[in-house]
Amino acid sequence: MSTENRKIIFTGPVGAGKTTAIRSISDIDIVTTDEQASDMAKARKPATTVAMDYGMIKLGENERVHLYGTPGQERFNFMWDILTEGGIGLVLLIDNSRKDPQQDLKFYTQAFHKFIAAQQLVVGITRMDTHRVPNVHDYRHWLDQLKIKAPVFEVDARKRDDVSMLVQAMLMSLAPGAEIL
Amino acid sequence: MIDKSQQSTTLKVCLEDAGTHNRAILGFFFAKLGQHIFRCVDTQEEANVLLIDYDFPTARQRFENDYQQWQKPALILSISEVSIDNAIWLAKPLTSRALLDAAEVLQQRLADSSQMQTSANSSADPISQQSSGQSFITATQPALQRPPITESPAPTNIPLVDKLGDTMAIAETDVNTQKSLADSDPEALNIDANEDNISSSEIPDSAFLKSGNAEEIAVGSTKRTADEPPPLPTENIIDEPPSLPTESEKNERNLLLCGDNQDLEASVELGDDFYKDDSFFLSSLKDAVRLARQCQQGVLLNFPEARIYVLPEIHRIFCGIDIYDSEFTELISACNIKDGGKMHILSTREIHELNDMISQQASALYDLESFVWTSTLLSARGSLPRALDPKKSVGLKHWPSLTRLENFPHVLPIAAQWSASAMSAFDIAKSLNIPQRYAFSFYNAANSLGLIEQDPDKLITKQSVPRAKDAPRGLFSRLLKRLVGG
Repeated sequence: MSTENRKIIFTGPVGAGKTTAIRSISDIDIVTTDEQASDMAKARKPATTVAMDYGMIKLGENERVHLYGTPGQERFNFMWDILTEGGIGLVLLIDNSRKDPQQDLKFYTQAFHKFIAAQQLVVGITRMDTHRVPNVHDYRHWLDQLKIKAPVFEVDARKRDDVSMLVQAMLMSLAPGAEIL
Repeated sequence: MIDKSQQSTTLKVCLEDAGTHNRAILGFFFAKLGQHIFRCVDTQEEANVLLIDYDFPTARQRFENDYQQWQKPALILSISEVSIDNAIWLAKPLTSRALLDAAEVLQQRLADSSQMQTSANSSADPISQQSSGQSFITATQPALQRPPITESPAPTNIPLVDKLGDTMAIAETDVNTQKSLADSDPEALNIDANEDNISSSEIPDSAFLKSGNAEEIAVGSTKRTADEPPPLPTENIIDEPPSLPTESEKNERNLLLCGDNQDLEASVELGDDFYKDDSFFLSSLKDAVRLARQCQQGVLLNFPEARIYVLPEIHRIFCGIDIYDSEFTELISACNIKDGGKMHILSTREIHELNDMISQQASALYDLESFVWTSTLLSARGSLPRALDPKKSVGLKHWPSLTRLENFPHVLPIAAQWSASAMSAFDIAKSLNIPQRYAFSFYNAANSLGLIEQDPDKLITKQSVPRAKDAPRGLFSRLLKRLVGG
């Protein structure tokens, strides 16, 4: 019996919460390839993802939705095209405490622009509880400037409901009117 | 002491790195009181003094990436303290006195610099090169240049309460008072208080209240130094609150938010009884938010039952009454013009009081959009104000941030459907096969947040490429069920 597999990709800068977000909705213990950070990423967290994170949502016997997290450091961006192949959508997590979140948004939307055009982007802003500026409205404005239409939510990557809502928004955007069976 | 030659050095400034309303006020100052000292030029290359509004989005970035290396003296306008070599920080609210004092220092520096250049005849000096009309903008950065991984500077305390004593006090004045003050007295230059309509994109990205560090207020003990890495998310997934509402509590709340109006035929003529205009509370709240955003200062909306503080810089509202409590619902429906609804920009004393209140009752600090969203729903209960036609095709410019707003049934499908294509509220309800009151509630609340575009031609359409396969709706439906907890 064949198994149907789909992918959702989580991306964003180092420390934005990709690993945590996948963990919060995965049905399995996530597989992560964290290593001791040895470069600038060390300033933000002691360990960083060097290859990818992997989680999974099981839908019955034969259906799986795979959750992949990209490494946050740009020197691993050769992996991004491979990871997105066959993906149904992109969850971009932006860390609001970084120096220039606007540039991060620009960077990742450009890096994944082909995938975004073909599929659906959703943007989750993390660390807004401690860093209120820029606000969600600013992100909407920046996406307008980039001519990208995507839901933007404030999220806490540790909260299942927040991450779930992001993914739901992605699915609903891809198939408006989809019913919950 | 400054000699005459130094005093006569004209400071050439460019206002392109300041927000619209700040630009207007500075332009007014340069045309009047500062006319013999300042001259406006078209570009920063032409300027001999860089004028940068640090709270204006992208201005700071441009300064740090492009202009700073020119080594021109700079005037930095910001509500938070800025310490940079060769730059003078002017705290907002700005006074004409502060501008004139800074101008004096800058004239001195330019004169000194000019003397040094003459003696050294140094053609490598950026200022002398600039004066000969050369551009010093370095090659543009690669399109995908990611910003360095640097922690944003730790918020610094801004003793603006003390500084306010030196500036024009604006407390307890309404907007009209401020405008007339600014018009009549150039000394009353208050860079953050004016009546010009500004787009929300021009809202300064400052994180501070006028009298303190807003982040400090918002996060309390989480404040850290620049060298200290941000706290990592804990490895544990946060469990949901232990006391989840029961099904009947949810239904009760939904009834309060969206009412129980029955569906109407789309062909029916909508009479006066269909519409319900904003309550006095809601219209006062919207006015207060508008005022706060325009002047980028905290605004107090005063009712006998509650004092509501609108804090645009941190995108929050402080309200002592729990918005999920029946007391708040009563306030919305009962208050009227006799009971208050007066508003004013916060005074220094009120800011101090507010800081105390926030430290004692942090839970009373609400996300601004969330507060307006819930207030709109409670005010309308599934009805629409006269300005919103349920038969007119409109679009959703942006999704509301649904993770932080109070949800009601079908809110996510409504947002998705409306975001995908412009439709009328009637058609949204019909296409999703849901009660109209939910579509009306969404329409009204999203409109209060400025997310509805009445002219669908103005909507940004997604630049998409055709998908190889149609969306697997069956899989999506099953996945959605899992995500919502099925």
